[in-house]
Amino acid sequence: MIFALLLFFQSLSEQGARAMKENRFTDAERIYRQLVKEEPNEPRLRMNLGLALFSAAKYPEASIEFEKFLKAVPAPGPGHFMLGVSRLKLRKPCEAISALESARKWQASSQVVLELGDAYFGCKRYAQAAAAFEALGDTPKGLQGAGLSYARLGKQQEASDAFAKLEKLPPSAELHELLAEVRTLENRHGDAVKELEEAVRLAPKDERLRRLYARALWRAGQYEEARKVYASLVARWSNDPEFNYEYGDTLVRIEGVEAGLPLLEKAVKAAPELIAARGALGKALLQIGRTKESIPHLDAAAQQDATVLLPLSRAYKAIGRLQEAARIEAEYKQRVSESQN
Amino acid sequence: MNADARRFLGWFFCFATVPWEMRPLPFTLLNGETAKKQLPASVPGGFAVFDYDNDGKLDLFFPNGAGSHALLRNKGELQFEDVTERAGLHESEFAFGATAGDFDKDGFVDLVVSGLKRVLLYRNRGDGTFDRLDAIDNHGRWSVASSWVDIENDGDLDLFVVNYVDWRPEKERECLVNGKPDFCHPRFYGPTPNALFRNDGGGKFIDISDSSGISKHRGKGMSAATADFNGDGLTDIFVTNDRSFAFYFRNLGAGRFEEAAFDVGIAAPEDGKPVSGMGVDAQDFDNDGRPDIVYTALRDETFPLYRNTGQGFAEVTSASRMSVLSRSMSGWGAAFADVDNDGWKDIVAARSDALSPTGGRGSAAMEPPSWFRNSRKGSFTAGTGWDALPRAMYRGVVAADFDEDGCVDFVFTALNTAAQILRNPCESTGNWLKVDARVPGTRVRVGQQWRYVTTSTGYASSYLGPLHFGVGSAKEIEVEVFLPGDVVRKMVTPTNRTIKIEP
Repeated sequence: MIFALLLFFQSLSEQGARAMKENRFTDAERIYRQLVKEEPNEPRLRMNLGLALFSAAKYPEASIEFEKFLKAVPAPGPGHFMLGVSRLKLRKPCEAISALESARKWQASSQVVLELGDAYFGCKRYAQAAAAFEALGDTPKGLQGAGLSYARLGKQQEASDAFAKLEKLPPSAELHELLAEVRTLENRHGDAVKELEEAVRLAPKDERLRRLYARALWRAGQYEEARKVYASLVARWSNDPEFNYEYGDTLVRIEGVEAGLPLLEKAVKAAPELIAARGALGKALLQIGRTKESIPHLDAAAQQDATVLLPLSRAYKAIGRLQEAARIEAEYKQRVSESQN
Repeated sequence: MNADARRFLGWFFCFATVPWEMRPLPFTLLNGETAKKQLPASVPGGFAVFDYDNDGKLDLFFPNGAGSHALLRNKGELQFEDVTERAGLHESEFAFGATAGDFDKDGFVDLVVSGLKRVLLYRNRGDGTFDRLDAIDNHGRWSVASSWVDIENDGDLDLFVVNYVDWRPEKERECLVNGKPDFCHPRFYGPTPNALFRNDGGGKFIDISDSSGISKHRGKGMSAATADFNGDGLTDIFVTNDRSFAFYFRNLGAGRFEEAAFDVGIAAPEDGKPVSGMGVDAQDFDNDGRPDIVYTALRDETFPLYRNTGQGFAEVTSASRMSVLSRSMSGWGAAFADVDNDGWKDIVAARSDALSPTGGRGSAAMEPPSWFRNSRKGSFTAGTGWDALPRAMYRGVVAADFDEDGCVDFVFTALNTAAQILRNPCESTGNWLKVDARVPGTRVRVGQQWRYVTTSTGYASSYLGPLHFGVGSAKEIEVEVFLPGDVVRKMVTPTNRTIKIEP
């Protein structure tokens, strides 16, 4: 009986490993969940489940599994690294720092230090970020991160020196991608487009780069060009909420609401936490007279973007809720006026 | 050539397409741009179209930035001669806009020029020369545009002055766009109040900016459109502001105004993002008898279009497809004009970026002019025939039938290049009628169409001449003219002619 059970576990475990190797992450998740259910006190199974969830881009659930693993195995190790990276993916850089510092104690590899630099940078702890990126030496990512950190610290000379070194590195798709990031953070969206054009030229089969190129075009307001690139990427990214938001927004702008609405709806359905998409969807619905449906989306987006308050106010006015309309309009005037001056 | 003749000749030349033709005028708009990219260099470009010598032909006055103003006399057949010196207008004052209006009611049209440091008033002496009067004290503010408007219906033209930002050369900052020096964003400059001067006759203007309520509101004004928007018999004023809420000054009578842009739904476009409001025109594009509004803005902001509902304004930028058509454009001058004489007013835009062609966007800052065809069902399509027009830093545009063939032509200014006249090939077979009623505030109905006599149009520009109506196939048509003071003239007239309405 025990032997049969062992065989069963071994077989499942092998199936899980095979699924991971073959990028069948949903299968791997199912298998490891079953294994964890059978053996809840085996931390390595939690780690494997976490890895399957992380690979399937299910970062909130992955984080939980890594946390459970670390509760059982608290010594610095790969669990800390995975937890830190998951939190970075969840855009919680400040919460990623302690996990990544523990990971550095386990292994001060360039990958760990790079993620730690990103965490410090995202948490606006630019001095620590600069130190982490400096530790990476004259690598593209090290120079880019150090330059951006020094720029945020107001150390313009150090920032310029780092960027100058970065620009002199041998051309590569990675280099142009990093330079595009710098241009984007400087609000030089047109220049970001040029860098990514070059990156795509050097790595024409890299769809991730083409995705970044489409986003750069969208940010730069080059909607016609963006539409072409987005259209070429639909097969791979059609389930990505951010992709659908950006592509949908592009279509709304150049073809009208009807063209982009299905994509915006799909984006919001898959990721209601994507606030910018909800704002775009709310505005689109309002434009075509679906006023009541627009209100919850505009309401959600208004927390982040004051300009959404005006269409929200108009929506309330249109359905006869005049007091709310007046209150929101007053808030809009105040918040937008403050941002203008 | 009248419409019947054109139709007849069309049988012989049915496969030939006459292109739109641009001809240079003897005036170059200089902006004095230097490597420092000081903001005033970005803003010139308005001008005035009017008949200064009452010879029945429309002349041109161009204020200049870093050069002398110019008065070009229309000799007919699209020939213009420079009469600036003779007219006493050869002055160099960094200026942006001009507005024509007969403020002293002597039958000769006068001029006001909006400048960086002051507002200049030129009185037309009637002998081909102008006197400069020191009658307008704008407190040293930077004025871009103005409008002559009879605010109290007393028969005197008062002056509304559009002021831009609080700019001081010693405080000018250096800005980078895409890593290159360029003009700074307007957020770096403080807002200023507009001004209103009451015409008390005898060349006296009283500053009533405070008592009228106008100066309570500080903005970054670029242009103004005037009309009786709410139908109460008093002329209201709409002002575009650069990257801030637009103003709608509702005329309360007795020289008082209230700012009501939010009340009437025109303070900001529908997505809530205040845009760089530039040139503006107010005319009735949907033939419902109420003046609508279109204004230009910069790339990715679209050119907002508002339909006057009688209870306020409904934004139709998206519904009319103007949002899709203008999304990639940056515009300055704007005009409602019936390009193809089909009886529906189209929209014309003078285009270019606010940035420098030697700055962050490079030559992409230069754009061609565009027109948008009114498809009669509340929507617009891209106008045809202008694809080959050159790119430039276009600023002002005014529509007028300069060659008297019944079709509107266009004059454009562009930075650091000769002003251009774009001759309408007049291939449309539509008939036309022009109504010459030059009293601001007059409303004219021709069939189902309406036009309003105003002195300001587009970007910092002015037109005071016959109102043009395309009338399609109509051979005669009913005309009704509503002069200020409830004087109504009604008649039925044959088309393809100009009728003059005496006040």
